[in-house]
Amino acid sequence: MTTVPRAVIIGLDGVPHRLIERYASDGTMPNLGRILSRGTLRKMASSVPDVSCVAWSTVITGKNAGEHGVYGFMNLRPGTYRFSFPTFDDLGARPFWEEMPGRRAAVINVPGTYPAREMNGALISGFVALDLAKATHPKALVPELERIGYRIDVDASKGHSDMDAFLRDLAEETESKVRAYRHLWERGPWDVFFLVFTGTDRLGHFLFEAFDDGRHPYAAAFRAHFARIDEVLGEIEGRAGGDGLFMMLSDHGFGPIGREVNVNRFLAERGFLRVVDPSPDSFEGVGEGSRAFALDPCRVYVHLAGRYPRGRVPPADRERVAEEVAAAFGDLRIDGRPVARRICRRAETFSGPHLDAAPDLVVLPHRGFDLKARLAAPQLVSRGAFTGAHTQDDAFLFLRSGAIPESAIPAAPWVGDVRGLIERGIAR
Amino acid sequence: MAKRESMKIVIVGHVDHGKSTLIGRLLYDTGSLPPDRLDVIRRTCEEMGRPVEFAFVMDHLQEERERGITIDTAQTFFRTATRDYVIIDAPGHREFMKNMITGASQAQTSILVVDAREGMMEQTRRHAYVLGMLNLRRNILVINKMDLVGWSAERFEEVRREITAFLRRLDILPAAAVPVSGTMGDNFAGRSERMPWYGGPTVFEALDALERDADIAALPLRLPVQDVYEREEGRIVAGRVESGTLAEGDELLLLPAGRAVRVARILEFGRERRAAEAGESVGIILEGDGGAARGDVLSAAGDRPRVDDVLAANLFWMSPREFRPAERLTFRANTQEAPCRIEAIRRRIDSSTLECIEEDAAVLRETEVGEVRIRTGRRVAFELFSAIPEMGRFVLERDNDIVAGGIITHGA
Amino acid sequence: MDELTELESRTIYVVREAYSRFKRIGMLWSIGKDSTSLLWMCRKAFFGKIPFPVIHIDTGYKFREIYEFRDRYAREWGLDLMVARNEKALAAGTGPETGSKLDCCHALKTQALIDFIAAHRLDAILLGIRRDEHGIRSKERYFSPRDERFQWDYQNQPPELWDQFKSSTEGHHHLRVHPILHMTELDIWRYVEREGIPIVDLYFAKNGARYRSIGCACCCSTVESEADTVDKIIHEIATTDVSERAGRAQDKENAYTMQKLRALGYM
Repeated sequence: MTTVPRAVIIGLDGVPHRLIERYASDGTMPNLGRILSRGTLRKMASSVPDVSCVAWSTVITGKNAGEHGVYGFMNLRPGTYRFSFPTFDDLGARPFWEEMPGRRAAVINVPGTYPAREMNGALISGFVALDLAKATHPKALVPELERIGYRIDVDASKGHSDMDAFLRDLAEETESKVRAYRHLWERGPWDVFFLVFTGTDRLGHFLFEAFDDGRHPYAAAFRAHFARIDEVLGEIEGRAGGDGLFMMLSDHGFGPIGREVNVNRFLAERGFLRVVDPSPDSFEGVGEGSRAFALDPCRVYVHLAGRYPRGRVPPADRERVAEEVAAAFGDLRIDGRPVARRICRRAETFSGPHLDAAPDLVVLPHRGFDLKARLAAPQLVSRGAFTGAHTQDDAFLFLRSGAIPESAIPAAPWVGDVRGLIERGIAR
Repeated sequence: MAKRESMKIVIVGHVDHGKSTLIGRLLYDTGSLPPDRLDVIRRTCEEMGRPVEFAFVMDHLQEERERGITIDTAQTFFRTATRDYVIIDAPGHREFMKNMITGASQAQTSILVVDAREGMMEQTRRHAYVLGMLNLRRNILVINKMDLVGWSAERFEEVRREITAFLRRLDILPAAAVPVSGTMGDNFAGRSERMPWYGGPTVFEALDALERDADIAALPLRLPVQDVYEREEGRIVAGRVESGTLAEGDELLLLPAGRAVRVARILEFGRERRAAEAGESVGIILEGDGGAARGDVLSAAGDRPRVDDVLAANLFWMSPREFRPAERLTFRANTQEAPCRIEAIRRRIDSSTLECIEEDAAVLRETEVGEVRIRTGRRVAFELFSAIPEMGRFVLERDNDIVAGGIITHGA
Repeated sequence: MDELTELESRTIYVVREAYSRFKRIGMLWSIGKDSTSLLWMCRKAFFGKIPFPVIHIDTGYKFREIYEFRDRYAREWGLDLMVARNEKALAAGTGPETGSKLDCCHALKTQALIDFIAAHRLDAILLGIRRDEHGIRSKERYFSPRDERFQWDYQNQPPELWDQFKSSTEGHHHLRVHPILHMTELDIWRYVEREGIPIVDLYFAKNGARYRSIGCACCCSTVESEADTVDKIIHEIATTDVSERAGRAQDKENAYTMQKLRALGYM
């Protein structure tokens, strides 16, 4: 009898490589320290843009956004300025668990997998899942999850009004994920077990400054959350045993925010955008005469004739306008520091059947800047409730597998490499 | 199905003194929580190795309210053996004071929560001041977290004395002061065995013993005219009886002019009435109506209100933009409205300490209280707040925004 | 005074305040139980003759029973009934099947009302919403200012105490006035029973099901119920806690998604 190698994959949404290194060595996460001693830890690059739905879609399909078609949490509906919200149904490529015949998977809380659909195994969708019944496959699992008090997500709105309530909620949500993992682990059978914790990302948004500032009032609470995650990591790794593939990864990193930069305000100031009566519920405020606008986090779209109702830029001028915007961002300095770390052009960054829907530019900021694409922002620079911003260059990847020699793991991987490594790890 | 009595209650206190826990406990002990939610909360707390934390209960309800997609928890109810209680949403912490006041002004009674370790704090005092201003004088003082002071009778007595002394200055006399532990449930549903020294009521006993409003129908008639409708039947004077009772044939005075009138008919659409009482919106036809108009006040002939253009009041300033001398304001009390000036601010008071910040002040800032003299551009009819609260309170408007609430303490 | 009279008196007071302050007002009548009860109280406030128009926003997709009821009582009660329809959108074929339900609602309800308010230059409109209807409503005021896109800034509303309400529309587009804000679903049914207010048949159970709220035929669903009289409905509501709006199939998903994204700083 040949044994089929199993894989256990744990995602820690938004956890930067440097946090893993620090907490593994300073005693905050002792289990992590022990786990890292056998296997390979790498710093990993996230997707462009570095938001969770794009990054995880890239992880599970192994393809770039030009191929899977998910460029962010929201798009504009064709021919309008109204938002649409891409879902799992809009993902233009299949996740790996749908392409491993004869193998069963249990998948919990991977962002971008809502609504749940038919598969060989069980799936509970992650962000932005709304309704547990639609987030669960098979349906028989719904009452079981209700019984254990499954929580799809922490209520992030609490982070704006009452930090203690937010932390209580986060703890509760995390415990519900722990209950769910134990339940699915035993419910079995499975060959691939894939669990993502997203509370780490929520915590980062609100309290990342507490990571570097030991005197921050919530410094202990920040560490305590990771200490709890460490206990769970220890438990899962113990249950996983020494065979097969054991992988941990994040989809992007986090860094502190000094300033929020309102990129549409910048485009308006530079004459690329005319905002008229902005509304928070649409981009209807993109006025006549606008040549470009941006969607979160900083996806710049040229305001093309024929594509948008008030778009007047002829296709022939598309590249030129994009270059002008790129040049403007290249020159943007705030407090004497350049804002743009990298300006990614469409053709150089994306390829595939969905290239047409890709943003013309994606601007990635230097540390300390968070790019925001609110249309109505009154000032170029602002300071919001958040203290952490995603970072593109320091996600992490750890893996241990008898089937994958260290030399086969790219020295500087990106999220698009993960799927290939998983498949190699579970190959018969 | 018999209709039960209901009472609207607001729960106030300093941040972290246990408001959420108290509400959670009230709901839990009266079985007012959906069982499935309760189960989840209980289990979570167990797994986290802590006792069931009632703050979780409120967090849950809040989340569901904000989403508005699950059960109907837009209003938080609990029921005791004798009444239904509705908990009024009165955010006190990080939102504007005006939201807290708006919420609390809908309540009929209140619970003031105080942490036994900390005693009276800034918000305790400020909220207490607002309760006094809103005439929520029949309330319950709950001294919480007794478990954290070793169930000490001495500490309870110390805190109780400190607070009741403060409340007395605001004319608030708590119906009971109850030592409790919100997290452990002592002195809620059952009497605490850990505090045998306490002989008073439990929280639920104290609540159920609260009486509803004193009968404002027993006071002299006051009926501010809201509007006048010309109909076939004649000129119908519309308004709400603020105090007292009204009957066909009553001889009344129309103020501020002071003309004598008689109640010819009391109308209700579809039927005639012989009498009406405080709280009712009515329509009446007057004999010798004398051109009654909005802003007039009908009064019992024998016991009339003060009519003047000067009054002394305690003013609670609730706008983030301060009051500056000589600003033009509008005085609004029931349906009366007049331009007015604040002639003097005798004392400017910190509402969280009741200490005088300044005498003969020129400005008044958000959450500060002013002892002021107000002059109105025309004569208005009013009462001292202590006599007929409905006729002794007013708001001030600046640039069409309500910026202050006041209670009348003296005449000229 | 009994509790229902107290609630009614309060509503009448608010209605009269609105009319006294703003002459250019109208009342929205959806023909549902809440706005029909409000209409009843308006009739009482003005002794049978409501001095402002009663507006029905007609999406063209309402239940047949709703139109019949509307026309019958508009006649019997001598109402100044005005029907607001977004004819342009209807002519363009807007309907629940053509796009998302949210868009349909926006075009046929919100836009129809926006246009109506503009055409008739209304300062205030009376609506039959209740505080217990929906979580966020617990923060509503009796007089609630709105901007031209109908946005409601609920964190920063004027204070309201002692029945002193916002008295001017200056700086705002119009005011929403909510005279039955303090009533609960149960209060409404008890009031309907006491007053004998006529109510659309759809609320009463047929074949084991009834509507708990009514709107467009395409977006309403029934709840299981045997309650075929007002009395039985009162009993049913007093003993269950199924959310009233659970019957609505209206698509809230986009709004909810936006809310979640916003909480994390997106959009």
